[in-house]
Amino acid sequence: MTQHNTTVAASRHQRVYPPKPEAVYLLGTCLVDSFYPEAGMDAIALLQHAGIEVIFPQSQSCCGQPAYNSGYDEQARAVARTQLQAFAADIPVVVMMGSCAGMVHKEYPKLFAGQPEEAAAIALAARSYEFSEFMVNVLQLEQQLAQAEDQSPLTVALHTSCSARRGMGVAAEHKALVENLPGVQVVEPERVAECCGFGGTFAVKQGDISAAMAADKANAIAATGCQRLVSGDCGCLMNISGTLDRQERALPVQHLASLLYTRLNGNDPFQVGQKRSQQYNKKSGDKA
Amino acid sequence: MNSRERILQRLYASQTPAQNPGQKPGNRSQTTGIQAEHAAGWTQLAQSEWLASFKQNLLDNHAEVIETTTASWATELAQQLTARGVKRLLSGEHEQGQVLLNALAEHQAAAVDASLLTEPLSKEELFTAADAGFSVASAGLAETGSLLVETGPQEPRALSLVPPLNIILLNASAITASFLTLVQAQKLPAQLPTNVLLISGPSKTADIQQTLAYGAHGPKELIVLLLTDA
Amino acid sequence: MSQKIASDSMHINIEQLQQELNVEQREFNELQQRHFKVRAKMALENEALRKSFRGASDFLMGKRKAVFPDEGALSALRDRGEAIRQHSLANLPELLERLEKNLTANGVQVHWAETADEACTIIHDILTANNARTVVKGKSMVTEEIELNHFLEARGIECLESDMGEYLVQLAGETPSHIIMPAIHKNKAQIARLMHARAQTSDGSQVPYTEDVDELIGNARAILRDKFMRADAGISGVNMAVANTGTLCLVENEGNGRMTTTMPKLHIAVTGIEKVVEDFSHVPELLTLLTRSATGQKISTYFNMISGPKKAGELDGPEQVHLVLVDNGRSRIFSHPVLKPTLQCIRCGACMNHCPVYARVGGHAYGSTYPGPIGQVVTPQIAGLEKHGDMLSACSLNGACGEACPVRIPLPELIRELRAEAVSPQFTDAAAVSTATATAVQEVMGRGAKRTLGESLIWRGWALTHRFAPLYRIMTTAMTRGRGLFRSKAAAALLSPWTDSRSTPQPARRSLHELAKARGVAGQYQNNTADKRGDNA
Repeated sequence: MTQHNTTVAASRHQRVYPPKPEAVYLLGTCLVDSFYPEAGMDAIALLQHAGIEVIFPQSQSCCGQPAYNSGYDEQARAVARTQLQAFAADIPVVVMMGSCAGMVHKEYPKLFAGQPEEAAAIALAARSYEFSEFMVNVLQLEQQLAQAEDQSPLTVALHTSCSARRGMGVAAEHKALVENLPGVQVVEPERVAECCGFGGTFAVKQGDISAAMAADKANAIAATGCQRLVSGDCGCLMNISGTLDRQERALPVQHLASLLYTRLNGNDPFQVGQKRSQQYNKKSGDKA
Repeated sequence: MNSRERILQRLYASQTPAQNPGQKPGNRSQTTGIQAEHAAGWTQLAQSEWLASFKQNLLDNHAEVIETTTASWATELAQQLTARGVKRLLSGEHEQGQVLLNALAEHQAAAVDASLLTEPLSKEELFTAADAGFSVASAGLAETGSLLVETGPQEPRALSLVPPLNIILLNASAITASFLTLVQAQKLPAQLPTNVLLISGPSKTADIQQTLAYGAHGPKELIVLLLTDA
Repeated sequence: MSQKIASDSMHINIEQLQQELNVEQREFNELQQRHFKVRAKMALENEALRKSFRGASDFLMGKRKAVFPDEGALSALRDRGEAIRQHSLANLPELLERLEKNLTANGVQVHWAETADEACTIIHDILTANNARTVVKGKSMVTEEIELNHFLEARGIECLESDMGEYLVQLAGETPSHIIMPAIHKNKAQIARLMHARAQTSDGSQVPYTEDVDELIGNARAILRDKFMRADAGISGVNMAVANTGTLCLVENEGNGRMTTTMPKLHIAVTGIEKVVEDFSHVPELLTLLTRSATGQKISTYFNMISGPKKAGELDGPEQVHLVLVDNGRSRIFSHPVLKPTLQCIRCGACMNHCPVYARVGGHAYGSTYPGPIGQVVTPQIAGLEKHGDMLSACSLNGACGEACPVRIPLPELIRELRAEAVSPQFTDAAAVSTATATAVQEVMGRGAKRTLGESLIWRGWALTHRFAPLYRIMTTAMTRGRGLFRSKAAAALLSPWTDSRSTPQPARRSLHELAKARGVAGQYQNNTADKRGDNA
């Protein structure tokens, strides 16, 4: 059954989801683009496997959130305009990170209020979905995981970002996708809903506070004894894994899309002997 | 222009049209818009649960609840006061106060010095000599274990505030579901008394390392005498 | 805890204690003059402080959660709270006039103050007109905001706080670090030292050293009861002012609010202009939202509703009741279309209890009357972005505050909006703006004060590389091909403060753009109806 926890059900912005479309855009996000491209490729593979044509506009770059959150609205708008043009066709947009999904879905209408592009922004916002939100509510993917190739036992700590949890309200979707993978056990760290301290430019502008929050989150996740850290947001992944790495407690991390795809297809990148592992390996000092 | 005029002018100048569609333009203060949105009630306590909920909330808040009857409450209270070593009790001038005085006289005259206040008491005596204050409540709220005390000439404000022990008398039939139902049923007087109180327990604070302590400034002990047959 | 101290050593002990406390007080005052980041860093390194705040935040979050067991009911109640507060704001000037009319009919004298200074002057004038030399204070954040105590004390009027937490903070010569639990930053041992060294009983003797909470409270109670008895005047805040009935409502657990508003002959209530509600029917739901959100209580021990001074025949109560309505920047907030929800606040403190930044740096780091998320929204607006814009960066926009707010103030959105105001390219002369009267003012005081050439160049550069596909491609190619450099010491130095506590993230070998193209993923959507705005691969 599709899980809708009370948080989702009671959400003030209850969305109506479309039936499975013929085609979707993939909004990769700038962090996935440069740091976790395999997540984007795995998402594309999952969508294609579901019989959906994926369009990846090459002119896309960044949702504009970094400047927006810093109050530089003009610059944010300039970059957001490029995305409006890149994703112009009336097909759903699958967004690879919770924070970027929030930016497009909730903030674009405000960013372009009173601007010539207002109608286009509202239209784009209305058809943009966070990755897990789309996979669960449109494709019911969590009900199709029983036949996964890789069913080996794996404990996973799932970090749902603040944007995904509170902004987009998709914590239940995240959980549903991971929990329904055979062999995967989700372990919950202490203070699971507390911010990891990334916060975009917050990590740089208030480095001390951010580091304190990241240290607490890293400790909590390490204390679960999990074998892997999974999230739908790469900023959080970089923040937590970077902290653990510096403390010499490196933990394999994966974007949610990659966990799904690699379990389904039996090519876990962190298993020894797998060729694909070289692509994914982010252990410290490795220059593979 | 004085400050008042400047402030009001700025506020009027910035007003946006009423957001609530239920409000008519010329009649901005209508409350029907909000009333209409209001759900059935925050808590849905059935009437059969009122008494138990009222009592439990008071107990949870460190008050004592003594269920008694119209015939016996005064004698029971007189015994309690003697047992607790109360030397000086103050009450407002009303029927129940007189009934209590009579019971005290019958029970043990000398021990408890009780008066019905008809004149202001000196603050010194009030603060240093009074051990107990006797009050009467006009309503009880089940949801929160609260007592509605309407102060006035017959119910001085200090009685339920200054002496370290406060006893409040309430008819069980005056218990209703909640503050909201009380207000909606228009049970608050149309012309409010100078000071109306909701009292829900003895005075407390958690300001020191979140540790609960009683008797911060108000009474350290609260006894509620509940008349089950009234 | 016992204190087996002989009288001789107790004498030395006290002097030493007093000296230590004086040093702490001096250090506190100096620290409050420094930059937010300095205070934050010191707080982060202070283990005792972090423990206090972590413990307090966890405690208060847990208490709130326990009294809101049903998510659906909580959501509906918050909707009501929001509607009630927005209704008040939508009708604010009329409601204030009605409040004034009904209060006056009830015998309460109403005063209006535009600025903090004016409010202090009005209060001082009322006190001197009544020969009031000693004041006892109930808890009031707005009187902290206008710095009333300092104003009165400088003019020879003793002004003693009676709320336990406020009393302790006043003893320490500090300011509150939380709007509901003012001494939340102090543990039992610190309070024990404070009381022993500085508390004075009515006969001038020292309070014995004890860490037992009941004893500490008992000692403070004895001291303050004497003050309630003798004070010439009581000054209180207001939680809600009901326009239709001319009633001032106060929420409290201790009884000091009732003492302050009952025992002295003169009662002065002080409130911000936003605290008015139209009707009594709006009160119960706001009350339950307030007490549950603040301390996890279904209701406070006392809910005190005052509708005038003592009437003929009544045996106690003040002979005079005054209400001072304080603007101090609120009417400017009111005029800002995005920031107006700031005024929905009912001062419950839930936002700071849930804020992970507040839990780590505590309230004093913010350097303002109101700390935490609501502080970050209110303080720059009433005191200007020049002095208080820095605290806006101390937010990861995680949204826990907005989720906890009982009246649905969109706090993260307001913080972001204030950031935009702080770096706006339009400069506004603060002085000119503050004297504007007739025109509706929409700018925040000190708009643009935090815009720097350096940062604006960074964002312009960022915008350039992200607007134009070729430039973006060059950038990502450089990152991926040069990924080895990211592991160098030079990169680590450049990427500080990230790299102070984290290893450098290393870009992938190829970007998603490249991988998608190589896989043959279409770059344009081809439909039956040709897409006129198709992008260029």
